[in-house]
Amino acid sequence: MNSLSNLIDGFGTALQPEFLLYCAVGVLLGTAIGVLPGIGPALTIALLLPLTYDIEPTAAFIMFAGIYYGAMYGGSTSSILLNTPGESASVVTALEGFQMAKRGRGGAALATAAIGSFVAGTLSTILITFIGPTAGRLATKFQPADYCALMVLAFVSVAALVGRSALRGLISLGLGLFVGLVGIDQLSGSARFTFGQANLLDGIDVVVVAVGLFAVGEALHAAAHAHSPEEIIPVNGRAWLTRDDLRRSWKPWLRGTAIGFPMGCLPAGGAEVPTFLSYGIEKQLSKNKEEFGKGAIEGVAGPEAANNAAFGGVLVPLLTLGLPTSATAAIMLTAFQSYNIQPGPNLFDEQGPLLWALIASMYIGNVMLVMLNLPLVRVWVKLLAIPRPLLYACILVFATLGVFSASRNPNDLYLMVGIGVVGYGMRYFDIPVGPMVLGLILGPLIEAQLRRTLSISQGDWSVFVDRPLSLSILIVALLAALVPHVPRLVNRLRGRASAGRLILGDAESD
Amino acid sequence: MSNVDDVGPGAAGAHHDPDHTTVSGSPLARRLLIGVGVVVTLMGAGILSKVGDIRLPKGYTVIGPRAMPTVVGVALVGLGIAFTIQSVLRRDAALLSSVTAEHADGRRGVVLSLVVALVLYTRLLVPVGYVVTTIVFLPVAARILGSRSPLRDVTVGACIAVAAYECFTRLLDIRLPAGVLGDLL
Amino acid sequence: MRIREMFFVAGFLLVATGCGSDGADDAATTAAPNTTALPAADSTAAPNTTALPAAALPESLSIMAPADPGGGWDGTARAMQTALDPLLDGSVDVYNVPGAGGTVGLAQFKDSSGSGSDLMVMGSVMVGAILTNDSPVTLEDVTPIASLTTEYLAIVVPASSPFQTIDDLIAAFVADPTAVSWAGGSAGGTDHQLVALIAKNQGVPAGSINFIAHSGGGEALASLLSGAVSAGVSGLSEFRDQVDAGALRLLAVSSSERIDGADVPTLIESGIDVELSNWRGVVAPAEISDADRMALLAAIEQMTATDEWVAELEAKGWTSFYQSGDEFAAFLGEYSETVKVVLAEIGLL
Repeated sequence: MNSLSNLIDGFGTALQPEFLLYCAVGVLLGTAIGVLPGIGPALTIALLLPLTYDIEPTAAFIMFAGIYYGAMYGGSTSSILLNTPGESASVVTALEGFQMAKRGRGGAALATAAIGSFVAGTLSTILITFIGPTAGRLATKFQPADYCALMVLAFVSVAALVGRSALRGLISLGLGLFVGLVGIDQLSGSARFTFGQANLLDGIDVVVVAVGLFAVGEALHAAAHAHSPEEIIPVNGRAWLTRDDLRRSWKPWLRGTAIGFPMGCLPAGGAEVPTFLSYGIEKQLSKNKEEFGKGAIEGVAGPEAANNAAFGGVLVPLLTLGLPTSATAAIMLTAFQSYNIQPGPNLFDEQGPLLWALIASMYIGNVMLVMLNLPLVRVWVKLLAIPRPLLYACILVFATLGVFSASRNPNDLYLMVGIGVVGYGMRYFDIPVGPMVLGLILGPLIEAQLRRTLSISQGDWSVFVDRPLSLSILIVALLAALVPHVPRLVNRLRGRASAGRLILGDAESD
Repeated sequence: MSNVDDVGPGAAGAHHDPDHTTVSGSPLARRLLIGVGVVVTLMGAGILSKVGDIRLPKGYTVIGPRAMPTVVGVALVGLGIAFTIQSVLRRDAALLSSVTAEHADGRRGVVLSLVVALVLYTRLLVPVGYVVTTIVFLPVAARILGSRSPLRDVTVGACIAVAAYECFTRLLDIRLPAGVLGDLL
Repeated sequence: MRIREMFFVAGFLLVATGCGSDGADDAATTAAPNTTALPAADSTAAPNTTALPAAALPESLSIMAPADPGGGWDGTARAMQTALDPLLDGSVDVYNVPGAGGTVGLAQFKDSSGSGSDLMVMGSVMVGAILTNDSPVTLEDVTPIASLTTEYLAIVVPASSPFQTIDDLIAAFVADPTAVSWAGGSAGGTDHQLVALIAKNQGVPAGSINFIAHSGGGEALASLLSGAVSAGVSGLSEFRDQVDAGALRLLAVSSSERIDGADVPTLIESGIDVELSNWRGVVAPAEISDADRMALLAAIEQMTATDEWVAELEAKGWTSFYQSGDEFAAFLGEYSETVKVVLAEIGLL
């Protein structure tokens, strides 16, 4: 166990009182900045990185690890409390998290996010420790055809987001796909649906759409019903999870990690797809399906773990290939270089001691995150005790602040308001907003990979079945599409269910 | 959404039974839903009409930049037509009743005033400055959303505005617009 | 290393000579002024800058990186911040305005006050983006201050590829162009331009270039390592580690001279008269006073001499490509013309 002894040496270097203090400062600063709306982990780390330049390397690592985990968790906090996700990977967290917060369960949502982050962060660090280089080698085997198959699988698995009516869900998905088309086409360089607007050339930012649909749309909906007497929900001051919460959370944490880490490892993976996948799977598996959309704890626990595990996975291509696969990873690459760690294929052999100190720091950062943030949940939850009108007004102010500070482009603000109006309209007509964000994120990915695949194969579609990897993924996707319907199909064959039940899904059971 | 249960005494025109499964859809709700179907169809058609404007590159391509927009356009047209037909035939009873309830309870005038406030806020953010617009917008928005404590709202607005400005501009080097207070801040 | 860097200053980014006779004329006219400009690189800088006392430096600076954090422009801006901070009395801020190859930032930068403390990082990518995006704001609307760094492109194949040399690859490309897929960065970007130049040089029609665009060199690297594509084009530093580790085979570089530590021929040596690089520089708003311009020129001149700047270049694997003021402006003009020709060839204009 060479890795183990190296790791112990790493801990030996990292576990010193003053270093732990640096770590604590890092976690607090990271959380404090990351919680600001619109400031995702990438920007938080970019902003705080200079702080670590003036201290000695080991202390810098430790502080950096603290900042990193703090920033990640801070992002989830604003998703849950204010419905304003700071980056696309925490969009799914807002879906259930804010609903929980609205129902006085914000404490539980934050706690399950914190512990889920800890579990996923620690497990993925363990995986990096022992199988990092191997995972890196395996992940590079993925070709565009395989990614394509993977996206198909993702689409199929998250059919759960479609909600009660397939038709309305698909309309929402179609709108998302359209929004995803706006901008310069990555493969040809041609502008699509930009209407001569330079601001649209880079496409419409997922964060702007999510903040518009979620935060602004929700606030407008609240305004429409502001005259109704407010149901006063006693805020559950307990920041801890009940036994029941824990029972419902632990499996999603593990499943989220199992989905997030491998997908994060893929050189073209990223963290959004696993969060959606985890959400879809949790909804499929949950015994409390009817709670989804109204604050199901599984819908926070799973995606949060997937998000954190994916970010752990992202470190694999970053460390072993020098390949940053997300904005956060690109900033981290800069950070590592400034600490004289040159990520790449030779990293594990050449720069052992520094690398192991870094990995040890990540373990410590994870522990520190939970230790500092669980008590803080109590403070955050107090926020929710403020009256509803003021809370929504604050959400609007923070949504504006977040979108503006992310791009400093007033046009993004108008876009946010416009999308907010659409979001209100969708709530009015009971069209789910989740599929729209999903279409926006997955659409461009699947289009690019499909076109790449066929360009490389010179138009030969058989590449999908010739490659064992893509073929197996496609078979899994087919199973995932069929299995949930098998009981109904069987019933239908027996003539027990009406055709309407199939089309409307579980509409009648609502 | 589930706020159909929130119909209060002040809700003008809330003559429907809040339990939406028993509410029959109003003709207006049906017309609104047909309208949604038509809008979606037109959107799809609009996308299809713009596909031809997308420049085709000269290099070797199997699937060009126009393929995906065409698929999305056709899909939206199809979905829009399906939704229109479904609404005409009143096939989705649950939706019809939930829209009826939403229409009865929701106050669109209030939504409109909040949208106007939001548009003014985002429009004036840069010329007038972050601090001033936020101090004004927050209490106004809270008032529209039903707050009855203007003094508290102004205080909170001022605190958030100044704290956010100071934090972003001084600590994070993300400059928020100073606007009319340019010299003061 | 130092001498080599000096040479790069002379090395022009883009000389598309070759098949056509007009191309040969281009080479003669564009290469010549640059080669002769080599000694001038330092001597012309002198009257501009060294005569000015340190007191004439701008008090504080605000540098726009017209891209997201983490990219090359952001890195350049932050490296400048590190090197300039000790030189100036006031502070050096960096802010990001991402979008559309920098043209969103450019449009916003044009409107900045011109107080003499504003700079924007830019580079070859922006020149291309202005043309392909049909940007209403162009580099005519800013004051060129200096070019700073450059990076040459590399052509690589997966280690398992049958192509052992650049000649093998080009022979296959000429024989059946669409069968050779080239992975690279964004469509119309420098990587794509290099492939188009090679195709033009070899008489391969633009319509059969099978260029597989990616959002960046890193993603292109992933496609290469998976063995899906035939060849890859990107900045040399992007591939270097994988080449050293034996996962990729380096076939050629796009510089005019061989590059230290990269034991492969240049394209020119291999009979493909093409040279291209990805450079970065800084500009100021159009309406700045002469005094402000001098102060900025002096600040950048002094910055490039600091140990911090040299260390940043070293850490990031960039090659110094310092040209100041008018020299940079002339270079920019020539570069834009050449890029215009290539982009028309690709079909993006």
